[in-house]
Amino acid sequence: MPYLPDGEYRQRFHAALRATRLDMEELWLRYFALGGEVGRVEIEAYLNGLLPLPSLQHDLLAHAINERLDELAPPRAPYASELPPLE
Amino acid sequence: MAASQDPTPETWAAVFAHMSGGVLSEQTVSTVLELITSLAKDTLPGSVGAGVTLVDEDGSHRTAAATDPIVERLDALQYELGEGPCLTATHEAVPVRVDDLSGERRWPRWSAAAAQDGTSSVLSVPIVHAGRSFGAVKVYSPRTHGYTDQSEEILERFAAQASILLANMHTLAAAEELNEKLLQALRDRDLIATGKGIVMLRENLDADAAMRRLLEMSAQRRITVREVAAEVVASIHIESV
Repeated sequence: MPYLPDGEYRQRFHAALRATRLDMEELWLRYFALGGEVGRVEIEAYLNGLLPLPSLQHDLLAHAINERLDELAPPRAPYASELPPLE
Repeated sequence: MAASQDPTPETWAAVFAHMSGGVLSEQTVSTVLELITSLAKDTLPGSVGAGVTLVDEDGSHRTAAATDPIVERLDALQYELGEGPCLTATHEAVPVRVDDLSGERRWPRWSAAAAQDGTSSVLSVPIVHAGRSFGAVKVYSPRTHGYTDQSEEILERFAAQASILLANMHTLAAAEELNEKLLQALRDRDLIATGKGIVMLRENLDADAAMRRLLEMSAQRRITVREVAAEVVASIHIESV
């Protein structure tokens, strides 16, 4: 199922991508490491709204961006469920 | 003016053949830079020494090759004082020739110390490649007017050789770094593919659905897909033991 975000979705996607401060090379390598199957040129075309992608490929790209954002994010407070159980 | 005899074209051919051979067969930059400096000293008669100053990634200077201790001393003094002909040559990317250091005003402290150390003239040529300055090649002479326009041309040819070498080493280092990143990406991809295969079997899913499962688990637990996959793979190993 080909997928090409437009309007607000595309803007949100691009805002997230900018926040990663990754260049195309680094983004593609991260996407590739996750198992992405599409080449760098196609990814660039997709980001420019020129070429649709299967939705799983979109999600892998989104995930590569989000993992990077988690790396950059400040530390988070753990929930009780994440703490070791009390004796 | 120094009584430097003109090198014949044959001498030049021999010198550059020697250098190209060196570039091809030697593994380390420093060996080739040593060769370049010793050839520079020999082809510019009257020099007490030759050397190469390089700018490191962090902007600091170091002498990568020096034929004689006096070169190391005079270079170290330039770095320490933050002034001198090689720093000017490096940062302004222009050749610097001083015929008589006793009258030199641009680097008063360094010039005075150099004169004290018995050096009267200096020639320093920048090592530039594709607009980037890597450092400078320099020769020092105990006599005033030790170098001429022709010496400058000669040293520029040595600098050109050094710049090709350094530019190549730079490209090679960048390629190695990319190579390492690519290998890591391949290792991650392999691990994730293995994890996906296990989820396919375990949950009876097709490949895309299994990949989506891994993405979901990663997003829910806020750990990377790689870490999720590593856990999935490790769990199989524990079951089988």
